[in-house]
Amino acid sequence: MGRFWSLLFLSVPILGVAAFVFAVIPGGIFANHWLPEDISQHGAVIDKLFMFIMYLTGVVFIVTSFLLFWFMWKYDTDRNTEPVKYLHGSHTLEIIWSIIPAATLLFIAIFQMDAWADARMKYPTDDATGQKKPPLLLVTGRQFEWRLQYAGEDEIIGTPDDLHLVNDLHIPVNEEIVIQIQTQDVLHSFFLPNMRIKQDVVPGMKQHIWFEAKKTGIYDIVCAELCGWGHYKMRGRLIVQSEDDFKEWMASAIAEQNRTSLKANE
Amino acid sequence: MKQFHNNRHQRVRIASIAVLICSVLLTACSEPAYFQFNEAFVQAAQWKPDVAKPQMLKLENRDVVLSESQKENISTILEGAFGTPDNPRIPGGVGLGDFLSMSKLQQAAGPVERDEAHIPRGLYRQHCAHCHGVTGDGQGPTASFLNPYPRDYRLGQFKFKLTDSDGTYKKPSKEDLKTTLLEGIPGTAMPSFRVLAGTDLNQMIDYVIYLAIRGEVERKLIQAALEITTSDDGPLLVDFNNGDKKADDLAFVKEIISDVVIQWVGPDKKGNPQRTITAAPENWNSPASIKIGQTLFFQGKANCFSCHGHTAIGDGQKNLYDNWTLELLGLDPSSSDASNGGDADATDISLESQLYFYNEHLASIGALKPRAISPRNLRLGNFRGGRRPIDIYQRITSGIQGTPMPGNTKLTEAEIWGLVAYVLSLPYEASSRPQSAPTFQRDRN
Repeated sequence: MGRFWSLLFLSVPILGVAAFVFAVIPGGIFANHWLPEDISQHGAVIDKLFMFIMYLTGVVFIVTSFLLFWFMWKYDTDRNTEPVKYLHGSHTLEIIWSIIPAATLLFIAIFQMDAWADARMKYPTDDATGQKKPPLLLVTGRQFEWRLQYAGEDEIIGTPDDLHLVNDLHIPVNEEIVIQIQTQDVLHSFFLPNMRIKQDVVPGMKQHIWFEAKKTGIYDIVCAELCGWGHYKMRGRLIVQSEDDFKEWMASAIAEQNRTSLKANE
Repeated sequence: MKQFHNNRHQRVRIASIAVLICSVLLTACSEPAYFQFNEAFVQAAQWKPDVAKPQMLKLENRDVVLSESQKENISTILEGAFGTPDNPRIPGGVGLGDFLSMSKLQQAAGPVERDEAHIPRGLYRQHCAHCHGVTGDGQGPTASFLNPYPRDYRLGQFKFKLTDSDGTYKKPSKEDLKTTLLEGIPGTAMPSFRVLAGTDLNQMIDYVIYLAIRGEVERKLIQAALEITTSDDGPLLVDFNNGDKKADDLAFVKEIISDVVIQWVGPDKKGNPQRTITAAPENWNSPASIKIGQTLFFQGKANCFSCHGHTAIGDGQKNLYDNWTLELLGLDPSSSDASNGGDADATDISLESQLYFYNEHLASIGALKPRAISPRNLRLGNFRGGRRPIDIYQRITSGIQGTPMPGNTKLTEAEIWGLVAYVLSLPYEASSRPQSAPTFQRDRN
């Protein structure tokens, strides 16, 4: 086999790096394989963290892959007749390769703290009153759809003025939104790729997520936890609207829910 | 080195065998799909219930039985009129051509794939068939895991529609089926298909109607075949080898198909129109109106409590069956009063004799195990046919086809709206909302 195996191992870093490069090039054959468009207020921080960790691990990946290749290439059995030498390890080296990764991990853990706190710990409050912001709606995952229950005018979920819908989640732009999420059956994961929001929905747990959309349009809601045979079809739409459009839509949806007359083929 | 060489040969051999097995399996999978014959209905139609002596009702004791060649004949007739799951056909000369679109049927039928223009095909098999079955018999691979079972279209009966009025059931309009696809049915395994393009939904709707018509025609053909069958003679419905008789026979089949089609296409060939519901009075959901509804709930005039229970949690009746299940128990859904809700006692036969028919004749052919239908728990706030006041109004006045829920035509407008208001208020009564269990959430602030 000669040096076949060393070349095979060399192809791993080359193809791996190439895949990333192609994914980033706009308009190429692998276009749209990079991160989805970020339309959220806090997403930039998360994307920066992602890129930082990717560069860091990328460099380590390339260096170790090339070292692996180099040793396989240099010490190929067919080309080396010298007898094998045995080493008993190096204490200094071991300390170095333990301390460097440990320090790096510790650095990442501290470096990301603010991003995590903003996304998951600091529950939004109303600027004027300082009170906790009530959830705009309750999202209930079930096999295989997202049931929505808007709190309505009284801002309380579970009252007769609630608006009940499915899969089409409308929100106003440029406003911090709080959503309460729960599941009716099994484990799901509420994933808004364009919002950089992903939260497992655990049976029996009541959870809140919050985000602010910066751009109007229609985006994806997907389930990011294998929840059954129909997991792939558990999709919805996030419809970000201007405040006026949102209010208009809300009024018409409530009017439809309260409809008390029907004409033939209306 | 020699050893290694041998190993390699062996590995190559194993790999080729694996590839061969895989390709054989793949070829087996691409065998064309076919419509399942409605064997369960044949068994039900041949069955003459004698509650007193179920042991007398073994198949060999029955005098009128369809022969295999008669069943094959019915399959041939159906294939001639409706084609196959891969190549659907719209029967000609029965007024269906304007109602269903051939191009839509073709997009919805067949295996799941994309054509040259990248347009999806096989939508029915992609989105519906795993529950509702390729034949539309509600017996797809996932069906037996679900409660309630997926709908069997072949009975031609649908629950949630705005076409019913004046105490009669009509076929749903395409809009009704679209509403079900868009909203899903909460409380059942039917999800919303809102994310799909509208064109995809329209194709699936046409295909579901096509399957429903085909299934109902199949039932009528089986009935017609049984009617001309005696203990000595089992003539074919259409004698394809007898030139003179064939034309007459086919005209008879066409009549049967027309009978089914006319119910779907309606008077103007565009489908049944929605009914009209005049606007509710201004104060329809006032406390006084809710009070009227609450009183009626427990009175004979509306009689809600007898099924939905004294506390409206749906525990008033435990041994009622829907039409699809009645057939599995050897009872004729069309003659049963229970299906029209009038007389709950009609199905009040001992469970043993009911299950006898299923165990004897249907369990072996894979029919779904019969289950009683439970009246809705009105306190959960789960409204399967929609939660708009007009939806509840429609359920109360027109009933739910195929189930023991009757339409009530005796109530006045004010009484109906009072009931609507009461039903819609039930989930928010204090007794409907027990103190919730503790949640495992830290108070973050």
